[in-house]
Amino acid sequence: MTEIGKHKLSGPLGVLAVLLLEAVLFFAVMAIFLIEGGWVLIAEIVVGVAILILLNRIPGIKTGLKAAFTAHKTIAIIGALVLLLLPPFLLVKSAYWLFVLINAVMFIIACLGLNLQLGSTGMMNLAGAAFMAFGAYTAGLLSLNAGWPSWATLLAGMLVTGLFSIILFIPVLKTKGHYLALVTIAFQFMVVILVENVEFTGGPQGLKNIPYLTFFGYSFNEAINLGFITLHKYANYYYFVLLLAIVVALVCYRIYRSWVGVTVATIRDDEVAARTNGVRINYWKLVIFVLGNCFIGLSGAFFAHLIGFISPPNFVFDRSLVMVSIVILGGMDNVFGIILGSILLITLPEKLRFIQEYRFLIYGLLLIIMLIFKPKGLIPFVPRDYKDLLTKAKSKLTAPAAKNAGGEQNG
Amino acid sequence: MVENNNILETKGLTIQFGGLVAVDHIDMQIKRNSIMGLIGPNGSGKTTIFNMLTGLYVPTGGDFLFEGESMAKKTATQIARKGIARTFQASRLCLDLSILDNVFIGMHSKQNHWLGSAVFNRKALSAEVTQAHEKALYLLNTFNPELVEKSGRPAGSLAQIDRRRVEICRAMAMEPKLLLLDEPSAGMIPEEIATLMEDIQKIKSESKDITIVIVEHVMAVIKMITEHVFVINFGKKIAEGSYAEVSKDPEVISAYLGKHGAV
Repeated sequence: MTEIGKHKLSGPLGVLAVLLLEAVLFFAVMAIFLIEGGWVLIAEIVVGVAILILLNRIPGIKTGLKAAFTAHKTIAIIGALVLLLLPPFLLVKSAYWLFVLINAVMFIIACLGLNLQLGSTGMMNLAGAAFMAFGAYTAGLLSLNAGWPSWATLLAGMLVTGLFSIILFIPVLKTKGHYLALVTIAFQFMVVILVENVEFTGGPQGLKNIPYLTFFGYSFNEAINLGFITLHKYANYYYFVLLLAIVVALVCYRIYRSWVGVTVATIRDDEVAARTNGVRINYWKLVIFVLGNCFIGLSGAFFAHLIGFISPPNFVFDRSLVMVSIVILGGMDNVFGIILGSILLITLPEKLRFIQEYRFLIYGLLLIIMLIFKPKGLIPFVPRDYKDLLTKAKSKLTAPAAKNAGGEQNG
Repeated sequence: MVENNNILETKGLTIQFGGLVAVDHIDMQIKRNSIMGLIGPNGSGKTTIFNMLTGLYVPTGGDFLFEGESMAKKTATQIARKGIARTFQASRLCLDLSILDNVFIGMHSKQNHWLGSAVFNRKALSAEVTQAHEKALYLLNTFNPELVEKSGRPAGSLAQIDRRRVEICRAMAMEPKLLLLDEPSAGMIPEEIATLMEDIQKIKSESKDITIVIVEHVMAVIKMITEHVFVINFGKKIAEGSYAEVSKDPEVISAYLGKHGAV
């Protein structure tokens, strides 16, 4: 069955399957934003998740689609990019939901950073919001006080956050598991208290009138007039944050597919085994911790420019918890899981506003249900199986050249 | 002169946990290219010695020389990079990762894992992965051809004996000069132990320059494959020599073999 699926789907039928799957996925996600009635939405999500789980259960479909995607890579990428351009058009009447979407994409960036730490390397970081604050305040202060251009404030927000995460690094090295969680919680609270009480951050009043993004004369504060349609100014932010998210996701995916991914996964699963195989644990923890926080800081810097006004309540512990929930519920060490998790967990509370105070009750209930039925997340970690290399390498095993390969390795 | 003959030498190797002296002034000479046995009753300190030799425990006294170099103060990572590999009594594979990933980590110190090349230089990386993949499959194929087909599956899906084999492959992927096998037969049935002995012979034939030290409770294994045996009891070395010699030693018999009533 698997084989049949593979052959059929690598032909022209595969192109159709690829584009169809992409469109279905895209519109399923967009439906969350477009559907007005709250209960209809909940029904949609339940059905969507059920379909996702069902698809996961049928191995033939999965391998067939996978083969189709590898066979038509270019088409798949172009199709996905075209679809991703659509949301500002679809949400042209509701700037608010476009804003929520931007928020969700922003959280994708932050949570991909957190995923490097928590999902890939197993370092709990409950100070995500604090690191977001570093990025946001750096960008805010530099653009307000020093008049730095947008590209520089975003870059600085990212790098300064990475730099500050080194402060936390000694405790990160010395502690593990629950203790590390406690250390990061303490850090989170310290940062918020600090920001509230230090003068140059504006204290509880925060920073006001942070300039909107401007790149080489192009201001993000103007609506995009395409003649037949006028897109809200948020469309600028959407396309920009989308670009950032694609770059970050690509970097994260490549790390996952590289030796670095293998190395940090070994650290996560068994530190002793990693050490006896010559892995420099402290070095890798430092690299991943700083890199992850850089991404969190980048998303914070973007946030400052998007909102234009930041204050301590934006970076409280709750936000850190949301980020950790996204990583755990989306799927540890899976880029796609993080993307789906961010969209669901950022959008749902907004969508559930129709039940007012009960919304967090429902939200919490949904989380518990998901954790019971999908304890490893919506899209769980996929072991790297190197299937694409198998056939070729196997033929080398039986060929006489295999002996030489053996000799080399022993030499 | 001594350094040429002995790949590893322990000199008064000692470790103390609080008031307990777990390993007490052990002197061992491990001859290059040999298979040595390390035996003793449960809790006599064999695994503790291995843990010191691989840097997981820091000795509180004494030293050990690997190829003439003092290693007692080195970290596990440094020692591994010098060429000492090991397996664990309770196998320590990453069960969620694929079998291949588990073998790849053995090649860690030879991999190029600069982040920049992981992200930007995909070509070089994929060439390196292809090469490592071939080597890993070669190793897996040597110990059990079935593992080649299963190589993409999580290590947790394997039976005990295959997990041990993957662990041996991981250690072999390091191309170690000294391989420490910690009770490789633990949890195996007699038929499996027979194939395990073949596997250990394979390790020898695969690599020209490898020394093996094996901790084992199954005396048949020790008798079959080791040329020299150290006997430990209560953290002290009580005898050494060939299996035939030590099995006649009255102290050994009373401490260890006597308990089982047979030689």
